[in-house]
Amino acid sequence: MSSTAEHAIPPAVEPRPAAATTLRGADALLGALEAEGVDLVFGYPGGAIMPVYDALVDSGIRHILVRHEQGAALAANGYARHTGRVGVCLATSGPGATNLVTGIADAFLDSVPMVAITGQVATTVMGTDAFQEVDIFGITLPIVKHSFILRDATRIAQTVREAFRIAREGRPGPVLIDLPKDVASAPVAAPRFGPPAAAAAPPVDRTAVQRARTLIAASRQPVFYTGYGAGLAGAEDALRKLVRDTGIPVVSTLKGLGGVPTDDPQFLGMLGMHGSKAANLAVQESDLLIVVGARFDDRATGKLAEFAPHARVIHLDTDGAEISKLRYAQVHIVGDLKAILPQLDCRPEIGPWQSRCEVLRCASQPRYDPPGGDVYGPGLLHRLSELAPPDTVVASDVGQHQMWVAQHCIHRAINRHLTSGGLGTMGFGLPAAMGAKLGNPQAEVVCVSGDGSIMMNIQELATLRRYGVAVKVVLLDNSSLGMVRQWQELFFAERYSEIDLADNPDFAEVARAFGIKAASIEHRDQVDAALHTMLAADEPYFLHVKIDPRANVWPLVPPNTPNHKMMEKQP
Amino acid sequence: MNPVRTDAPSHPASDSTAVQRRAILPALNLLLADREGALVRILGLVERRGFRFGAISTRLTPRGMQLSLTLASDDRPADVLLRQVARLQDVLEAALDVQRQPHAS
Repeated sequence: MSSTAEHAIPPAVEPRPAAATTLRGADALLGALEAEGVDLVFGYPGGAIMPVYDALVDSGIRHILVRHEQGAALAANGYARHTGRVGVCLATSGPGATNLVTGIADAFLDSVPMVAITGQVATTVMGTDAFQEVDIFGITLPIVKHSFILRDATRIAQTVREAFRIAREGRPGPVLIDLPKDVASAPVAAPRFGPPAAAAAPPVDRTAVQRARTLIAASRQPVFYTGYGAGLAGAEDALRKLVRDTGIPVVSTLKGLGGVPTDDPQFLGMLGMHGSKAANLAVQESDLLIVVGARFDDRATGKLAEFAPHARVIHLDTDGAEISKLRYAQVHIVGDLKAILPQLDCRPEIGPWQSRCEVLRCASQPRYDPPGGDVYGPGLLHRLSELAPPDTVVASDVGQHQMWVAQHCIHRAINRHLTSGGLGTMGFGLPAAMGAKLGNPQAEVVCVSGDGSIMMNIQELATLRRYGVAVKVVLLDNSSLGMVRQWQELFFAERYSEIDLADNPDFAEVARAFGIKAASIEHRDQVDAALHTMLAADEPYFLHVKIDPRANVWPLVPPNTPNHKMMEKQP
Repeated sequence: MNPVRTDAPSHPASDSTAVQRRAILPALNLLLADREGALVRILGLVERRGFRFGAISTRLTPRGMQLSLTLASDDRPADVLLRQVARLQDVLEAALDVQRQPHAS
């Protein structure tokens, strides 16, 4: 019998039974997601996940069909980073699941709350090398906060609730749920959903608070070193108040940018490898580091043994496992930063130190007027920050442009600067921007990418087009893998190896082929008009910018070097 | 019940005699939820965090799986590992003991 003949059978012959009486595992899954407040998932269908896609037809949950599962994981990741809600992605077994891995690892290293749901072959054939079977539970063990194989349909609702609680509580992270096809198809009784689970915050250690206050009051050269944890805890207001009240200078990690606005006079800049001179020198000279939701990452500390050599450390974090992992903390307080920070208010006598830091800050302000008429990447990004609405979300890809975004855009909130800090995932920017825009359609969302990174998830332009997601893409094109080229120039005796991308496609034409408006510029005097046009668009827009391939990111702390020994741009 | 003594894995970069000379080795004593993947998740984490196993023993109890891990490693702080292990969802109880080995053969 041909398929046409099958379609000719009137639907009344096999009426669809009422949903309430024939709930399947897949229906229970989607019901449990809705009970957690999920209204948006990113995914891609396939064999083992088909029961869930069938159930989606009757569900109130909106599904965004991406064009590669990595796009789904990174879109859920960007959605979660910006909205603070748990991002959800969905993929089938085997290659669908393995394609999620990079996005899950990215969420793990950057503490992003995410639930990844993968289809799995039926439990009866699991372990037999069945078609599209991989042990995704095993593959993802080191990169998830927790994971489940759902072998029992009666446990679906409970497991989903547990997964969401784990993903968002304390230090957030990704949780994997592997759902075998027979479990998704099994009949289940209608589950009852209560309100989402909430964990009680642990009490703050009052003795440690007192010791911290004593250290702060006695310090003469203290510095706040703030990270993403401040944003995860929703502690930006508490942080800003404490910074203002104590008068202590602030530096930030890459992902902590915006915790204190980067144009605040007490803010000295990002620390670390591509940090500002002011931030790195202040940290190296400090006698007390007050670390707020940061983890002494090697990109922030430079040579660890010579990092802040005169400083004692007060470490505040929600995750006790970060305390004294890399740098001993004289005082640590584990718990909710929002509750801890207000208790640390005291007034050290630091007048001379404030003056010193102000001198450092003024001396490390960047200039945006290099000679020549080429587009200057840092200048364009600074201008973008000035022209775009103040609450614009910037999602960056990975490479030189990522560091320029960190250094030269004005950051006013941690959740409006989306950047792959821990994993450094090229291809992060476009899907992350898409996820953020879908989670907050009112926001202006700009993706800053490079000609290397954009090609890693360029297929998501089709998703932008399909759903009319008005993300603006600024592509800084230096026809090379710029960050690798910079390192080869500086640390590998200018032996350039596999960094040339001179045969890139015409990116504006590529964007147009996807149905997205695009423009190309290559002269500095075109920048303002091009940015105005891009920002005025109420649809997706792609701005291709040719820049000087020799431009580098400055300053730079060479590898295994203390942070005060920075290389700066040669005159 | 006697713990099952496993030979320390040979590792080209490690100085196994230095490890064996140490009379005192830290041991993690854990109670794990009896859940799929709990044991392999713990063992993987301990190795990935830079520790080697001296001895491993497990015992299933009504409360969950008791796991005792003697660590053969010099350079990483075991108290940090304890906190990294303790934050896993599968770990119900975690303690770090410093125990004296009768022989380091």
